[in-house]
Amino acid sequence: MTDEPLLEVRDLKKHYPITQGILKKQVGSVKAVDGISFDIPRGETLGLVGESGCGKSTAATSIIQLEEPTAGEVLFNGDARNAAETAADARHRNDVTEFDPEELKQFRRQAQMIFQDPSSSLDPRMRVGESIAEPLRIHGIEDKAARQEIARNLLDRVGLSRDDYHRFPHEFSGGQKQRISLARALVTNPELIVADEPVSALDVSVQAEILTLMKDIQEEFGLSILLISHDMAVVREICDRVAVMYLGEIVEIGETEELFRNPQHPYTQALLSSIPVPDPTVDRAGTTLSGDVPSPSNPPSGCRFHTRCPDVIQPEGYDFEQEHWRAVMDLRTRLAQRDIDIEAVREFVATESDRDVEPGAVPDDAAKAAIRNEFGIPGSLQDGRAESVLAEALELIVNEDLAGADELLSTEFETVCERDAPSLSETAPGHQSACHLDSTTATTDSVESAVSDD
Amino acid sequence: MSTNEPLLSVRDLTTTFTTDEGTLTAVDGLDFDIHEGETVCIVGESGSGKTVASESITRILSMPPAHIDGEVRFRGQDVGALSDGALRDLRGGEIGHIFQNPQDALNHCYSVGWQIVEAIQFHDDVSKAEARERAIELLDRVGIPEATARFDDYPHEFSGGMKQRVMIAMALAPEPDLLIADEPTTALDVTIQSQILDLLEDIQEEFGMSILFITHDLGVVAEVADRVLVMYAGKLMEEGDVYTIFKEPAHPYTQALMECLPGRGESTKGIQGSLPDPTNPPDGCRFADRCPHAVEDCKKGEQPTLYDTGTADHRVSCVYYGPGYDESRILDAELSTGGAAGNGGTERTGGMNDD
Amino acid sequence: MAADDSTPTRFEDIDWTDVEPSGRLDLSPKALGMLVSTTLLAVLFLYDYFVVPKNNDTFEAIGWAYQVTQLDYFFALTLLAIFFFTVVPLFENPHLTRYYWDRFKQNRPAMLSLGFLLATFFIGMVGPLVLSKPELSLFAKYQPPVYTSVPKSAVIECTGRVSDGMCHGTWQYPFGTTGGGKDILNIIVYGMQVSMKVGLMSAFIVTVIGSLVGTVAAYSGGLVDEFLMRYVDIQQTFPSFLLFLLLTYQFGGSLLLFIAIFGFFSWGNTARYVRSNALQKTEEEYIKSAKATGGSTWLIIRRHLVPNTASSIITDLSLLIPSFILFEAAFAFLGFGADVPSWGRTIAAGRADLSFAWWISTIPGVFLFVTILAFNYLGDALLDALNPQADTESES
Ligand code: SF4
Ligand code: SF4
Repeated sequence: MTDEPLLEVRDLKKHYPITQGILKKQVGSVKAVDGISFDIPRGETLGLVGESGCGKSTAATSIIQLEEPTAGEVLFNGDARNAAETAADARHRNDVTEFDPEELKQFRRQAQMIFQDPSSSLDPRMRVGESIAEPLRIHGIEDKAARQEIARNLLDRVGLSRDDYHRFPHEFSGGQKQRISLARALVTNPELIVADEPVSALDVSVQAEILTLMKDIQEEFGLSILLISHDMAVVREICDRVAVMYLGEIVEIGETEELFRNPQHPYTQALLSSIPVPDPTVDRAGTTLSGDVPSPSNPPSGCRFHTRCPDVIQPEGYDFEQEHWRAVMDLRTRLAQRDIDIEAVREFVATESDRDVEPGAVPDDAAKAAIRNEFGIPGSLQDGRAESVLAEALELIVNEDLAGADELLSTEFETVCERDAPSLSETAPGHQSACHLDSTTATTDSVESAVSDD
Repeated sequence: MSTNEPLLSVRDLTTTFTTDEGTLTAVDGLDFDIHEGETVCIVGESGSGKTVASESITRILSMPPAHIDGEVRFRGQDVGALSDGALRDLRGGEIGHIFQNPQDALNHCYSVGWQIVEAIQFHDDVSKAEARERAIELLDRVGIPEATARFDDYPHEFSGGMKQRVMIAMALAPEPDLLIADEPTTALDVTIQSQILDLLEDIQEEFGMSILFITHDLGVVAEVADRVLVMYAGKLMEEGDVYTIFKEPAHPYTQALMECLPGRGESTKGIQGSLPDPTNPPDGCRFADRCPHAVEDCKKGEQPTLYDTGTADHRVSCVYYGPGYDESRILDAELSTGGAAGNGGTERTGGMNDD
Repeated sequence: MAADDSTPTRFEDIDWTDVEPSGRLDLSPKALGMLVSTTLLAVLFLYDYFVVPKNNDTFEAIGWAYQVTQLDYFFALTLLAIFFFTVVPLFENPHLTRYYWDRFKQNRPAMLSLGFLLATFFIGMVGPLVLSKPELSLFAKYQPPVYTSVPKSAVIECTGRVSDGMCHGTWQYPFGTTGGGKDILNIIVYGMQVSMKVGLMSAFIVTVIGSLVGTVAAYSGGLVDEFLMRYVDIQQTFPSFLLFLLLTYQFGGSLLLFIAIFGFFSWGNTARYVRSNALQKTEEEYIKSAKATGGSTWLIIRRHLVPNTASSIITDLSLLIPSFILFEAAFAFLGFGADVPSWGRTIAAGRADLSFAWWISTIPGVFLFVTILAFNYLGDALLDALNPQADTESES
């Protein structure tokens, strides 16, 4: 036994090609997971959190090799491998992505996965006992009686009854099915369990039971767990460390309590403050994020969060109210997508006004005001120079020159957040965040050096 | 009870379904009122009957297999006595509905704009052009950027959060007095959920409507509710002011729910056992099998009546609040966190679903 | 091998260093049974082909005058497959069977249909061994069914009572006879066998090829999938009807030819269906879970995919089988059929005599109709019974 982590993920990427036409020409790719790195020490639980579409589930399936990662390494230092390898290239030889079929099969015995939906994670036409024992069978335990005995024993230990062996999944409640899934995952005595939203389909009262069971099991067997969840409360409950994902990247990673108490990254802060507090006397004071998550096929440049970040850094030489600067950034984001229809704006102004005006006759000033209004930009920015740039851009917009407006604003109001991708940097021991606000050396630190490997 | 006439008054609402296994009672004798401008939350887990209760109000359940008994009065008018046509007018008019999955509630063959226009025209006799104008205003109001441009887009071109906004716009079209929102944010990410909750709050203020909000999430309840109804297995367990419910949850079930909130420390063990069989509910208190305080009396007769706790408008269906018992036993038990859950016994982790 | 000295009873007691990851293909008992019986059948076939002289009966050695035909071999194979892959699994899973049965039982018409079809099947199997082949017997022509009568002038020799110039039917020919004096009861019984052969054997071919192609297409994806599915498209536009006519003119009609052509050209829909079903099921978490556990593709297909698609294939088949039977009848009616005593032929033969000898066409017609109807009812009921969607927990 060494103290190297059980699982080391290095710059893992999973891109799905977007194809077009009969020849399936690749025209782009969805960057579901785009270069994530983390370690899971033995006996530790790491939570991977984020909103839908952030790539957390893809990360899980890529690590477990249900999907082939596009790039990156997944080093699995399971017991058997550790003992077998002493050579200098042991590191490489532990790379799951390079495993041959036999090694892969062995890996699959040592790393198991639990899925989200209790109603679909067990074969409806198989007795639950057989489902639990199936991995044993797959991995060469020929003795049927032994398989059965082990499955019964496990049923008992996950809080069900030995006699449930012969029952079918539809006879169980959601929480019970999840216990069965857990038993199935345990049966080969794995070292790593990847749990993809294991409790999110369950009622809270049942969630608590399952989480407690997972905790107990982990303690008893010293398992490492990778927990995928969208629910911060669940993660806080059982994880030792947490990694927050946004658009295929890890934006913050740290010890659970430290991260929850002292979130560094603006996204983590927003995520945490969006959670409704079960206390009516507390007002959810937090910042409400504007807009939706951008598409991972065309992620924003620089910091991927800059299209929504409330703290997005202001351009040099200008002085905005932060809120107004965010509003101007929203306008820029939409301009960049050429997603402003000035005709529609005029029509909208025409509908709003009480007098009957033809959309064509709507004065430019009214249209500009409507645009400011839509984005929450005040009639005049406090910084005079900024205001004149904005006014110029609006003039271009009402004259239907979106490209011109976009270019003007991009050059004048360029922010470091859109220019440079921040890398993970340490804000406190063991706590890293990828934001220019945190890193004094705002730029080219590579991910490699940020995640120091010893 | 307050003196002024409630907007919606529900008495002894009972909804049953005819199934292969027998008659399933989803909602059993539910009473509650909603007053003007008030937000009432029904909170409960799956199987509590909260959704069925909300759908029984405007009878949007398909009948059969559902069968609705009891009285629902909206502005004093008996909803059960309405003709089908009048019922439709009510649904498309004074009572709006939004659902958990907006994609199921929107028609994918029409642009969202025209669906709202239709909703407006269904209620008001206005010209198409006028309806279109109103629709655009509504879309803008619910925070759809570039409402005019997006008017002609189809539902699949909207994200989940945006679809829910469209649904809200549609429900608002006839300017309803009551909005029934059934888990409107459950399918959404937290950051989007907070956007939608903010929107609902703003809109309620602006339109002065009442909201009946169905949810399983106590966090959401704390945020939106004025008054809370806690349901379990088709029965009302506790009702009261949101502050009271969270400060002094009086019913053992409510207390257990609060204990289950993740992130409340080491003591969370969940609620042992499972829901009673809805086709054959047990005698006495529905929660008795899982209740750490259950006594002999709990398993006899009917569900205990709703007793006043002494706090204004706070009522609890538990024998401990009735004559001959000392409710402080339960209220104090709640303070010694963990004791309650511990009583469930560690052997029976999870409990079998033996029916 | 697994440690034999102490059988582990807890999962953590397994010493995995001892366990050889076995590469041995483990066969289920039913697959083994199928294999053994198919081998026996093959041996018999070879014996018949190489040992028994050409014009001797197959079982002459044991004194049974029965010439086994190619059709029979194939039919035997079909029956074995049905036995091992439908009947045996039902007994292997008594719990599940009970569950389905309870649901199925509630459907009255389907129960009647099942009874009727089982009777048809068994009578069709055993009957021809007992009853002689319907034979021409001119003196016995146009005998009316029992309890009915026909003008004396129509028959040559009335086997029953004659009164008022009417010949009455007797129990000797309960269903009457044809214009050639063939006993309609015999025809019905032989026709049952023909119909069952046509239906089951074509369905067997369709199932095997369809499932194979569908599964392969779904699992391989890419070009293989594309190619197979395009082929299915082409095949489905192909007029197997014309091919059959052509071959019949060329070589003369035979039941085997009919079954082969319709079997080999009708699996397109099944393949497509199996493919889409398999694609959909591979998204199910239990399939992913089996994969993540290290299950081989073969295991996943056999243990998870097949059992979960089988019920829908069975349902699909219960609608395919009657269409084959109907096709055969239609061909026979048109006179293209094989030279077998099928219902369709008899219906056609009696068509000219409808004015006075109504029973010749009507009685086989009724059997044909009821058989088709029964399959349809059965299909509907199976669809309801085998899809346990209704009992997923309802969220409220
Ligand atoms: S780098 Fe800029 S945009 Fe990204 S999180 Fe930090 S402040 Fe926000
Ligand atoms: S009535 Fe009895 S069982 Fe029901 S909640 Fe009160 S103490 Fe518990």
